[in-house]
Amino acid sequence: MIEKRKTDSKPEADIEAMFKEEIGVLQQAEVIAANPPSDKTAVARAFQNLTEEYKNLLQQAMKMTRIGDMAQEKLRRTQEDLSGANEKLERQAKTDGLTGLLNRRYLDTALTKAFDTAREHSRPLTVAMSDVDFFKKVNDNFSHQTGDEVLRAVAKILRDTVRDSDTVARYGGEEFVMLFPDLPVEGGLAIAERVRAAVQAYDWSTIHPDLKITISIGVSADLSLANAEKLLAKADEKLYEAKHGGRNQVRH
Amino acid sequence: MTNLNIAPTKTTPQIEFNAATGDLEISGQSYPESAVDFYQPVMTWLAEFLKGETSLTLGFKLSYFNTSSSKCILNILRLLEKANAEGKKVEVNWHHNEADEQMQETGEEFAENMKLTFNVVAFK
Repeated sequence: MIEKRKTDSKPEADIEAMFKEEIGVLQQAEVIAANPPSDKTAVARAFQNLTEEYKNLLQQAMKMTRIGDMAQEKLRRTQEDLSGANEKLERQAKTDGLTGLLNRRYLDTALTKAFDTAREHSRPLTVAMSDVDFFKKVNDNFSHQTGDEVLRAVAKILRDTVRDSDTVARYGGEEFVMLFPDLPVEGGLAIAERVRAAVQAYDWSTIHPDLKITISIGVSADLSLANAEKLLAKADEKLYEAKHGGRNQVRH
Repeated sequence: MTNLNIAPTKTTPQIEFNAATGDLEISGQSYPESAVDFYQPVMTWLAEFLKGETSLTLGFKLSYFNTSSSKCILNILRLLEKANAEGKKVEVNWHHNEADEQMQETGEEFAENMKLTFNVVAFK
């Protein structure tokens, strides 16, 4: 006889209650097996009954297995949909809608992280702050739609010119920030200069025949500053110098 | 015979058994803390109902249920199969949202080898 397990926990007692009929059949069969009746017909009848019950139980077990698998499949798909939706939300949360670049909120986190990492490992980090020259005039003289197209084109030039490991974010209106991790100021300046030249060389007439766009860039790699915010402020200061120095230039 | 009405909760389905009209439906989600505690009164009611009636139609309209609930559903179906074998006219309708492929397949799985009328019905 099978030892009845201790039913000290409620779930276990529940399961046994669920299988009450099946347990009853087993107990009955065990009684007959322990003390078989001499009447062969009675044994055959009991055996026949047991076979029926066994068949029923087997069918149930197979059904429950398949139904359980389907429920799990349904859960899995739901989970998949959910994580897909989450990923999309996360992507949207850090992306600038117009340009597809990273947004300012994401940049703030990324900059702090890059600054702390650079300091911790005594590695260089160059930050560049750039601004489209006379952007207000683009909006005024052409249209806001043209302005948006310019911002999208500048964003693409920035993204295509920097290294894959660099971060490019839209900081605000027509301001963009680039982070060059592991790059000392000379290297950062070189990329910034390439970016400036690429913007100048771009065929802006594809957007409007009379359109010409340049950008100014301020660069800083001074990690002796107190924090990431100060480093960005320094780059902004240099951008201001570039603007007052005649625009379409890189300053550090 | 009195009706059996159990309001749905987050983990248990709604039970609407109308003794007078014979409309019996189990709908919603089913993953109770104790499936036995939840389904025992349902089983008892059905067994009692079958004593007086010659026919019964039971509708399932579930969107999710756990394994324990599936065993309790099988127990209910076994009870109905026995009544059907005794000459009562028993019919089960398994309703599933037409977009819910798993619930459709689940219904078809329940229907297999079932010794009573078991229909799998899609709704919009």
